[in-house]
Amino acid sequence: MTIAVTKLDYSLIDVCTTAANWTGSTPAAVTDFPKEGTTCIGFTMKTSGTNDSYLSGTWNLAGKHLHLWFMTAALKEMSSVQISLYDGTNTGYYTILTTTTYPGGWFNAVINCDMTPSSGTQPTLTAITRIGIRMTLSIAAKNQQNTWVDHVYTGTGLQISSDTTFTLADILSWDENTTNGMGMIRRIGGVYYLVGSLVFGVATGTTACTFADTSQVIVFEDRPVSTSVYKIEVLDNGTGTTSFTLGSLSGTTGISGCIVRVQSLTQTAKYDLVFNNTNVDNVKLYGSTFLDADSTTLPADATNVKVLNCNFESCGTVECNTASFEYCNFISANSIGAKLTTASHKLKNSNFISCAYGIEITISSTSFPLDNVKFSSNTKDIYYTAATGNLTIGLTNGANASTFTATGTGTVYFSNDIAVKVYVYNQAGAVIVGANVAVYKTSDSTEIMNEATDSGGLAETTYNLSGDTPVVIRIRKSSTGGTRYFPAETSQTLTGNFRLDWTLQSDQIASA
Amino acid sequence: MTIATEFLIDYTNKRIYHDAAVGTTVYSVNALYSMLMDTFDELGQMDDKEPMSAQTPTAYTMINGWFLDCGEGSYAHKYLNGGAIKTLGYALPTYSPGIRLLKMSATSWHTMIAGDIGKAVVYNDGTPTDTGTVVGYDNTLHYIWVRTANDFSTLEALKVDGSATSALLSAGITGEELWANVYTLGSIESAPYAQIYIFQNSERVGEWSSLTNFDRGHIDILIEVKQMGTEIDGANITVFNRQSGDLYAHYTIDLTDGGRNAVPLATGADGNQTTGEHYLLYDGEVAAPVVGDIIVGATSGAYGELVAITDWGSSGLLTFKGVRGAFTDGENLQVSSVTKCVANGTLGDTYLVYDASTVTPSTLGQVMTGGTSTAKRLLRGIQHDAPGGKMVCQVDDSVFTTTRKAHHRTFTDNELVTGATTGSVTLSADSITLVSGYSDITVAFVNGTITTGGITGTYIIGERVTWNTSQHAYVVKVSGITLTLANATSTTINTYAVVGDLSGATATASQNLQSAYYAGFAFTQQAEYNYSVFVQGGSIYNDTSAGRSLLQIYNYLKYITRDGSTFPMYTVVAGVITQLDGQEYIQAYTGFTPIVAAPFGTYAGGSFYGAQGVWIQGMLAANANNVTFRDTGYTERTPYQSIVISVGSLVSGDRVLVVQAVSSVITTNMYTSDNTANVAGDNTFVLTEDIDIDIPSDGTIRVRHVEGHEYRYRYVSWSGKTFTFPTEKSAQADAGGSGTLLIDAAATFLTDDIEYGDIIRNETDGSWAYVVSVDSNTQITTTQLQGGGDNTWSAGDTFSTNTIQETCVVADTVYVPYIDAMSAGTSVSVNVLYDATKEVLVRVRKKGIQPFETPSSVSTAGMTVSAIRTPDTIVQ
Repeated sequence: MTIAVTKLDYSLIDVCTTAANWTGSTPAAVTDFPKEGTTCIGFTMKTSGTNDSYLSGTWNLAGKHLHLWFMTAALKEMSSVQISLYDGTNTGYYTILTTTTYPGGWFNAVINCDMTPSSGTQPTLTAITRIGIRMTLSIAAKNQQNTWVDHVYTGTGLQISSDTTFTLADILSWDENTTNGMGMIRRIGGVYYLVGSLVFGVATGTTACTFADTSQVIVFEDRPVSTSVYKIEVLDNGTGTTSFTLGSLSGTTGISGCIVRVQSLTQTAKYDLVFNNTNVDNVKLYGSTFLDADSTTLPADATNVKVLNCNFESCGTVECNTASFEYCNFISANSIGAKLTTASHKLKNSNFISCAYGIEITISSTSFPLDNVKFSSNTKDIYYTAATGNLTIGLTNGANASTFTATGTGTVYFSNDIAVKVYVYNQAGAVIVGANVAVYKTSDSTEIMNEATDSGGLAETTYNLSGDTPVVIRIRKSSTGGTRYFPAETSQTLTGNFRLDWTLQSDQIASA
Repeated sequence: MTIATEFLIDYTNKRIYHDAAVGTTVYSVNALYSMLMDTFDELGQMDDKEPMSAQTPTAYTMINGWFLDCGEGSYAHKYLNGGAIKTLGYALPTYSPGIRLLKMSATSWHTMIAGDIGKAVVYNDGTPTDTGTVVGYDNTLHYIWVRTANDFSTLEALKVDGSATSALLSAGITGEELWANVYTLGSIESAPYAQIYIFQNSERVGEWSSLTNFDRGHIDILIEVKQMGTEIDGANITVFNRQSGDLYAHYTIDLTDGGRNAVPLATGADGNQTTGEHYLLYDGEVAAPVVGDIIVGATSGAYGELVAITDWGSSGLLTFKGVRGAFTDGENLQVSSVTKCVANGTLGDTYLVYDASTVTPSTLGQVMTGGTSTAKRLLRGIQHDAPGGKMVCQVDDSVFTTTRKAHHRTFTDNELVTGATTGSVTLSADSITLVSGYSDITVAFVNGTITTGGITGTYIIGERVTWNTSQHAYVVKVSGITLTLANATSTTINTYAVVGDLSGATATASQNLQSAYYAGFAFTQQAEYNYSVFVQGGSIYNDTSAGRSLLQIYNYLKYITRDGSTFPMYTVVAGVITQLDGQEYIQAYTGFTPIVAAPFGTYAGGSFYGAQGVWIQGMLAANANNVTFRDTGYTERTPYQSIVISVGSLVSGDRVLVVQAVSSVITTNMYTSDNTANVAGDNTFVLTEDIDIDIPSDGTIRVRHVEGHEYRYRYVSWSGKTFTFPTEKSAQADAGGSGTLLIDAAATFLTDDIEYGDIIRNETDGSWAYVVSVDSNTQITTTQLQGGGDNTWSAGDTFSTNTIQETCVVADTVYVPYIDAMSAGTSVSVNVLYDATKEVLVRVRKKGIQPFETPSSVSTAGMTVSAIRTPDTIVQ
């Protein structure tokens, strides 16, 4: 599979083909096992204590993420590995590995240059003159080459496009190719590990992009990167079709989705799901689970914009826009499970569980629908942030929001309105006009309706339904002077729009 | 007013109740149902469950826990008719809360008021913690109906709304209830209409006669037949229509199924019950009531039908029948709630008019005694007009000794009647006694028998006997040492002396009463059959032993079974004496066929037709033939016809003989002597043949020996082939006698059974004579002794009375006169049973007149011959 990949924010610092670029620890070009190109640089880190080696030059590393491949054989002696940045005056040391965190082999080290150094003094990033490796040994090592470095660069991720459908494996293949040797994506034990962002599609031009993968696990590693680096983003130029699909659709159910997560729920660098860029209209998330995403933004509703059977767990707010969300679970959101900015949203048949706030609604409305959206164990179901005006939420089909916090001057009303209709007939099948129909909740006898049937034999009302509601329905017409009927009473359960057709029996006993 | 204003809905307490202060109209249950349906179909009532449902046009149900308040302050059921109401929702724990009825003690009862409805009922000391809400109450019955989920099973004091009240008598009861609808139909007497009444479980249901549905005439009411899940007496009731003067009716019906139930009743005027039953004087007349009015005592509530009135202006005399209750002295007497006059005294049974008085007998209740007649009555009212006046008196039927006879005598014109306390008057007419005074008629239910250790004296059948100070009964039969008792107040008699009130006879019971509901009684000369009710027609309280007529007895029997009668009927049910009020009496024993129109029997054409098991004796002799009884086996029993053989136009001392004859020749061979059984000295005489039924129950037989001589023997009874002579008197003569004079200084001839004409024998010398007179306890004059040695009553001679003088053989013949007696007045008569028309010879003789002799015949009409007493001017 040929994919087009753009290295995001990429700047090459050293391809590690010439040992002369390096100073200290006996640098030497090594051709045996480069990660990028044909060579890497080997070092002899032998001194107990610090062993430094560095490149010299002039770089502006402000706002940059510095990547390099690192490998050492001094496993017994190694205490820590740091990247050093020096501006001629101050040197900052940024720990990338310790004895316990080094997994062995090539390690795709990355630091956020803006971060506070682990030791030393923060250098002036715009005037960096040395970029080095400091390896601290607890004991002296043998005097032989024992440490290697390759492909030193700055960058934040990969932007991929392809006319034909590609998968994560295709991206991995590209990355692992020594032509590229980026180390942005790795696969270990079938799990994809990322240390940068993946951007699908191109925002300009006509390039198309079709990504689809199923049943994969994608982990954003716990690395010292900026909190804004990790993301999966979709771009669309409006001409070439950009399609992004996780999982697959079976009937109306999303299945075989992917798991996208952070390495650790405690890591600082979360990830964003950015699907709302201009022209993006083909994002399909099926049966996928997103763990600890920072923010998620969806595009407007479109034919190929669907979020089905997905879980958003411990995530930041999912900005739903008008994208179609169904059968999704928002679990233990960091603060707000989802954000709806329009009454025309397409979020339904979903659950908000154990969130601080279930849904943020930013607009006032007299009829804001929630269709079978159920809330449980949330601190508040609704977080209403419109500055003014009231919000009336229409709860239908079992939607059960009942609590809210309003930050503005307005308030929230829950209107689980269903239509309750009772048609009353006589034994001949003709409608009965003027029969009184009353509907009471069985639980506490709260009156839901108490109306006389109209000319069509109908008594109706709307009812704010909050969960299945057993009711008692009484139908009576026994006034002197007309046809009298035996009173009727029946027990029913309101679960949604309700219709009862009832035939009253003529009471020939009561006096006319 | 409409039903919606009178029947009210207490939504708070889920209670339907009636407010009589608004109106007292009686509505149909259908109207109630219709009103409730009309009310509950309104939008405002849709939140309440409907209180009532209809199953049929006459069957309805209180549902959804609604309580129909039939307690005090509501009595909802009384204002309804036309349909039945049951409940569905009272019974705990099926329904919780349900309704529980708390039956409370009268002691420390907290009088409930309407405001207590809805208040909490709890235990006074807070333990247990049962709680309920009052939905109804009854201060008379001490009932509280509560809506509760608890048991109220601890029998301790409760409190209502914080006020202590009495203790529970029994654990609170719960269950569904049923008020069945009963209505009467049929042709019933309307002049006036009777107050129809109902007995349920041996209690009379109090009529709500102020309302139209239970007033006089046909009724249409709701009766509670199931209370808290338990049927009252199996839901059976008996509906009575028993107005004096009418043929009665009653109907027993099982109302288990509820619904609307027709009770057919048919009554009409009883042409044989036309006389009044009570008198009542009045004064303070506002407007005279008229015959046919129903007079109601404004204070007592008593009522009666006015059948006669004697209006003296501002005062007068009322004659009632069908009185229920007791009018009180001084109370207003009203007709349809309008006062007509004022009661002057209380009810009585005897009316007396006087034309003079010394001191006015003003003390009511005192005994008035006739100076001549010795009649007695209790004074119940007096209208003294000076100098004359009127009195209403009453038989004291609490007296059972011989004094009682005085209470059934008639005061006679011109006699002085004196009050035991004050006053005396002189009558201007004989007294008149009405039916309620016919209490000399005894109605006694056979309760069983006792054996005794022997009887001293002779009990009078029908008299009251007492034992153990206050217990009493009537002795209705004596068989040897066994007494059959009726109307026994106790079955514990063993070892007690049973003493006859009238006779003074006594016997010591050797066992307790052995329960029986019948005893054998027999018409004269007939076999015994069993009967349960013994009616003594009054003869035992009449100086001349003349009982009351059957018509009077019939009237009295209806009087004691009329509406309101509390006359005690000591029936036996399953071996237990079960006392009933006369007003609820139906039949003598369970399973007997009742006579609806008259519980003890009907009267028609001068004859009485007894109900099953009813026996009457002691009635007026002339009526004795006019009865038809049915024994306990429902077999009809009638007496042999009783006829009277009478010879009149006599004077005292005339000797009269009426004897069977052929062509004026006396038939001396009516019977023959037994060949061996009749030995000189015997006290009985035995025939070869059975004795004919028309032989008088007592009289004389004449034994003609084959040699031609004959003896005359007196008998006191007979049975089969045997005549029994009076008790033999046997002793030895003392000195001083002669051939016609017997002296026995130790004798008691006056109290011995010795009469003129009795044979007397001198067993010492073998002579004999007839008694001419019993001169004293120690002396008898006889005819000249004959056939003996010295034919003299010599000192030491052994004598005997009423024994056979000469041994007889079969060749000796016997004839029995109908009458063989000396007249004590202007006539001599005997009652015998009719056997066949027989030719007789009538003789009347007495020195001084020419012997009178005439043939005659005894037929079904008996025989009456007037003697022609032609003076014999020759005889010296």
